[in-house]
Amino acid sequence: MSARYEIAPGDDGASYRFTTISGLTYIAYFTEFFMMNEDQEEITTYSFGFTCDRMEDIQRHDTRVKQTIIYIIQDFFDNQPEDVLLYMCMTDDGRARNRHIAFGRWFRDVNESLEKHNFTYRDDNSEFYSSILLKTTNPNKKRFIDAFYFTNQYWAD
Amino acid sequence: MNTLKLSGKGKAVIILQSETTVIKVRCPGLRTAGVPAITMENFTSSLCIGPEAILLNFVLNQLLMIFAIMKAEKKATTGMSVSGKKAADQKTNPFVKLMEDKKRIAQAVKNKVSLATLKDIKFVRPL
Repeated sequence: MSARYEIAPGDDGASYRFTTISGLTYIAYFTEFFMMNEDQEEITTYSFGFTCDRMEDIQRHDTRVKQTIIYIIQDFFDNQPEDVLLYMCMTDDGRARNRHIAFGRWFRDVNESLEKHNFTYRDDNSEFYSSILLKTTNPNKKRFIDAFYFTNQYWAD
Repeated sequence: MNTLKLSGKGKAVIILQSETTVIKVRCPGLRTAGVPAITMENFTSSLCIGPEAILLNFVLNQLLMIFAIMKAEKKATTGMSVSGKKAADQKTNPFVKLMEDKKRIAQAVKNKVSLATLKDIKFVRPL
């Protein structure tokens, strides 16, 4: 049975980090993100991301990494049940779609109290996969979901 | 003095002061675009008698058309949205910026550079 890794706040005051059994250090972070609603009023949310210090050295699937990322997301919603998290997949290496699918698979393992909404944008030059996570009980759920799609559509047009 | 407020899809509010023959139209987007409000003072009271809703809907539809044109023109020329608060100040696509931020963060982590040194990225630690 796999257990998550221990998470510690980063010395930079901006991140959380954990080290895997193979010596890789993962950094998870949240940044401010602004969506807008149909009236083009700003809605402040968070984006979530994570990265590894030696991406090229990731050689095999480590389920404890997944467990740790899921734990961070759950902890976020335990503390802030009325907030929303935006997640976007890196596109610089042409593997954004794979990451999007993998994140979706991870998400299904989180629990049933969260829901995910996706938006995919493709044109000749770029490809974006964005998702928001929020609790099913979020009282502002519709407002956030509408703003998510509106913001994506606004900039995709 | 009667004041009637109508909202059309939340995008415009019309204040009709029929007894003083003044119609003020306020649209959040117009103010951001440099037009604080549209005021039509030469309406005769007779125009406001009868099916006020038809008149107001007509004005509202005209405004929404103007608003849509202004929004499209401004977005095309500057990349900015016409209305909203800070949303109107966003000169770049926030999704594009986020992707660029993620690349900068990944590069900083790879090079063991403190994330605190990255400019224009507002980190938060909600946990």
